[in-house]
Amino acid sequence: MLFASFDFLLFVVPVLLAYWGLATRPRARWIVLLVASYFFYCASSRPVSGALPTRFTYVGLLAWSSVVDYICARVIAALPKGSFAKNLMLGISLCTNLGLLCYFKYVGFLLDAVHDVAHALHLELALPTLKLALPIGISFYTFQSLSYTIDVWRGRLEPERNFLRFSVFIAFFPQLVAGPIVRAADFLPQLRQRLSVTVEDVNFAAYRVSKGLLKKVLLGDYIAANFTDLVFSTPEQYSSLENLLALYAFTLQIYADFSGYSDIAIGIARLLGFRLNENFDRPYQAQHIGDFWRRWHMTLSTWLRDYLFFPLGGSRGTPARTYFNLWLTMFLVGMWHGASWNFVVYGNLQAAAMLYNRFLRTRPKDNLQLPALLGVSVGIGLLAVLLAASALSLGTSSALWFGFGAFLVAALNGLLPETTAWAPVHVLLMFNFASLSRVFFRADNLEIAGKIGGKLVHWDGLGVRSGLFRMQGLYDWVGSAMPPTLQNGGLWVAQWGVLLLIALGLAHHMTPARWTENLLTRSFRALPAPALGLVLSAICLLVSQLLAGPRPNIYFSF
Amino acid sequence: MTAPEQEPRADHRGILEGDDRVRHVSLQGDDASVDVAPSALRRWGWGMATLALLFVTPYVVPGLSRFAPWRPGDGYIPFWNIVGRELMGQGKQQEAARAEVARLEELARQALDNAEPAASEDEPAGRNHAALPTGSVPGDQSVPKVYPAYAVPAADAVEVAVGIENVAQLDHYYERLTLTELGLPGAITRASQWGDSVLGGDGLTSAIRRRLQHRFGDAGHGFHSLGRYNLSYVHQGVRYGDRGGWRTCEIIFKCEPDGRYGYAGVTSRSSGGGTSRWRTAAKGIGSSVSRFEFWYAKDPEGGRFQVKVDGEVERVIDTRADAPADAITSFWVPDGEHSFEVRAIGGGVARGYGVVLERDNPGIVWDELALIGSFTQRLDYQDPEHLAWQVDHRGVDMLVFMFGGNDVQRETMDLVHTMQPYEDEYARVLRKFKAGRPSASCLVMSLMDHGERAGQFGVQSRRIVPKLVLSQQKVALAEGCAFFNTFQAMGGKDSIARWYNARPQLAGADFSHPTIAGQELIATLLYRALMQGYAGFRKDHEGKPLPEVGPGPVRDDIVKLESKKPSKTDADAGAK
Repeated sequence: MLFASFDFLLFVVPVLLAYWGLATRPRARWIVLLVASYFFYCASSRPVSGALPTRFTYVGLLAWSSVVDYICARVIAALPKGSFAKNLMLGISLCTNLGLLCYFKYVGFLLDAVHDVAHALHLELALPTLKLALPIGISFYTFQSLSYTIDVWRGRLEPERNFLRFSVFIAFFPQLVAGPIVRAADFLPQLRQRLSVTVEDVNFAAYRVSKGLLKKVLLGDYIAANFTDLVFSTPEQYSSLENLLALYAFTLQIYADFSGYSDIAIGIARLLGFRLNENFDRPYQAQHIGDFWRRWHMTLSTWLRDYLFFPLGGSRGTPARTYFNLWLTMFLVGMWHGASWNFVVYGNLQAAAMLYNRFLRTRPKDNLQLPALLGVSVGIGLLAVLLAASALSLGTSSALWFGFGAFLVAALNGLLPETTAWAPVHVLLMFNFASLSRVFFRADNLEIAGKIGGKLVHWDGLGVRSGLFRMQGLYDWVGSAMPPTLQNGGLWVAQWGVLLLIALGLAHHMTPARWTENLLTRSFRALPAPALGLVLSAICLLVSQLLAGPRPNIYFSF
Repeated sequence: MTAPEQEPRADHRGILEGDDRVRHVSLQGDDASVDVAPSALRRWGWGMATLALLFVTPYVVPGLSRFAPWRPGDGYIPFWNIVGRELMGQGKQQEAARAEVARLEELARQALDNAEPAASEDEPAGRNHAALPTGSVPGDQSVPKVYPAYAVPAADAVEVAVGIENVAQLDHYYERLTLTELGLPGAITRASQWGDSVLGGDGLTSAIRRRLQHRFGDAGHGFHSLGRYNLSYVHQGVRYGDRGGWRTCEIIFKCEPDGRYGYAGVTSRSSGGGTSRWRTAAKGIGSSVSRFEFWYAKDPEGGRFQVKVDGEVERVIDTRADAPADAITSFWVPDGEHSFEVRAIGGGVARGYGVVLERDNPGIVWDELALIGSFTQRLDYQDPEHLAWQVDHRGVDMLVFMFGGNDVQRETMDLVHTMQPYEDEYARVLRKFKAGRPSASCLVMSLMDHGERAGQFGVQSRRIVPKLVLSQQKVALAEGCAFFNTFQAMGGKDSIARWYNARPQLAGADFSHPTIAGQELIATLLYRALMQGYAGFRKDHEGKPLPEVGPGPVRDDIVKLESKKPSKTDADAGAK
């Protein structure tokens, strides 16, 4: 269900009332939460565009995961450490969860990939084509569920004996379909704590929900509908500068879309008495690739760090082993987002930048030639991979060359001194690396990525066409309703409105969080209650008037 | 590398730096107490009450009804996935729509697959006459006197869901196409397509051009405007660039008081410095040219143009004349890759229209004459005599029009109650163009489907689209033109939503323009319809007398540059 929809309002108000009404009866409260969560999962709104939501019956997968992991964890906890049966039960849990994820998300691509490679080698294989509907949220609740069984197996968490409570943890609706990914060790104890909802919680929730909706609607959907979607659907028909601006706009849009969702999830959870982990920390202020992933989709990157990177040995083994661990983790970060050659390139791009960054940050300081040497080495290695992929006809060579160019931006960033004076340059380069590498994230396939990349590489110098950034509704209104003395200024603002919105969004993002967060939190605290309702109403009005309807969050498709 | 690694500074740590921190979490104890502060509930309650009040207001105050979150009939069904999809049976409709999208996707894949070989093939133009049923070859001196027997090529024998209406009006074009297919010397078949922004990137027109040229031979790119009057104006396969002080004037702005807008509806003026340069594509169809034609205006205040071919100044053209007139200067070069440059060098204000890039061998030319942002009626701004001269001198065999995309905006203006104004103006436009070359065929392509978001939960055709299509059909048939119903070929009502949702995506996010894949698909649909008509024409005309090729359009000012060595010739291409 989309948060920025009338459906959600119809849903969440009764749920909150029932939940608080049953405050003194924990079991009944959990039942309300569980039923509400399952209903939330089933009753998705019909999106304005794009694929339909998966059928409500897919909720069975969620229930199945819950049952399997509940049983597995109970058995694991009962068995002696190191026993075969204990490991077997963990294996069953892993196979069930990852098996479902792989089947629905990756098998189709794997078949296509085998076919592509075989075709490149002039082998004709008769492989079936599998196009499955991806169950919404499966990438999120699978990781959530796995954190539980793995922690129990490692002896870091006691198993939850109450199936109802455990099911609430797996299906908790505010973060069920698009995160933040919640760990069992963080959430299950909260189910046992006293239910507490204070005035401060209401203020906090109102602020986060308002902020999330504004981000989602104004910086996410509006920019998408009025600019980025137009350019990316036919990149060849737009100039180089327009393509580049669309990339920057998409960089802002995807952040606003996803972090807006997380804001709302965190706010709603707070009203239910739960504290969810933050998912974003102004990621485009990052100064290097490791810093970026510490700030972007934090619950995913920390999950992979704790459940993959560290178990593999982290950075405590030999350098070669450390680099392998780094590559695998970052590659999987990329592949988590989708199953296509695009994400293979995207994951490798992030991994290459991370490896290079690791080397530069841990290199012996007295050897100044090594960075350049290794930069060339990694560059050549990456180039070899890209050319190999190109030779295998896996995509257009321009896409892969463009990817290499994006890597060079990250490499250059790594070579600059890490001093305060250089911080703005680091931020600028990292922002550009994030934006450029997102070509592979946004484009439907490598061919389109290549077209966008080609536009940027073969710079045409044609500038921006008139009216591309126009806010048409505002423009019409200014033209007809504003007094003539104000019309010129008003028309200028309306003419460049979308671009101004992008610039303002990015400028706000680059401010220190404490400036705006503190101010706005204080403001919300000071508002009288009806004014809170007024603010929410104004945002709802924006949702309904600015766009014809809500759009699915980008991360729903992951 | 033997030196030990150093750990990064703690204040700059990345996500994968540092060590695993082990913590043990106990799930013992259960605190069932509650601390839901009444003040918190009151605050929340008042906020929600205000929200509810403001939600209800639009239903109570009629003047605010447009702000109502939910209006009857807007298609909104709460919790659609269960209620609408499962309980109201809308799932079946959606599955049917999805099946239609799958069919489209397959068609699009076919269109793109067919586009690839032609786009990339190094096919020497004018040689692709393998389909000749008579056994004759291009240049064969034994010119047939009658239409030879015709066997429909397998590629043309595909089912066509939407064919050309009033196809008999294309007889002249098919006649010329036959001569071209027979490879008769001088048999160039020209079509000129005017349209709005749907043609802007030359995606649709280049796709049609490519298909026809692959089948019948490449006779060049055709007409190209002198200045780039809009960023969206592009011609595929021509490396074009301009700089300096062109002042461009597109007909939609009614900016030429004398109504002389040139063949493409765009003029470029400069009192010095305006420069445009064309180079043929590096490879593939369209990589050769044997004739450049520079189209310009003469005027009492006219300035001078300097023309360079392959970087050398070949002519300075003085456009000063006693009275306004139009002129063409042709530059003949050996067939191959060449560049052509026009520069205004002062002496007055020089006004140019454009450049033709053609080859003098049997083949196809399909002009892209996009007028970005144009309403249909804007074409009527052309001075009739000037336009007639332009059309006649172009030697065009088929006039093609595809407008209406901007006229959809008139659904809330002058076309609310009647389509008569639109039909009258389109009829005037067709008459004005046809007057220039009455023998030429005429084809009206309807606008493609245009959509808008419907209520909160869907995309549907704009209401005016079917009405515009009907009007265009009515006018086309009444004015002696053939008609291709692009809207129906796309799938009819609401097809834009399916085109938008298809993968590859066929329509853009503005629900008005096709993507490149969509343009390829429309081109395929039109090409198939054209070829279906052609097959019928050839069958009907078997054994009937074959017309002569006849002389091409008259050219008074010809510059022959036979010593020019092309960068790449057919012989070079063949040797590769």
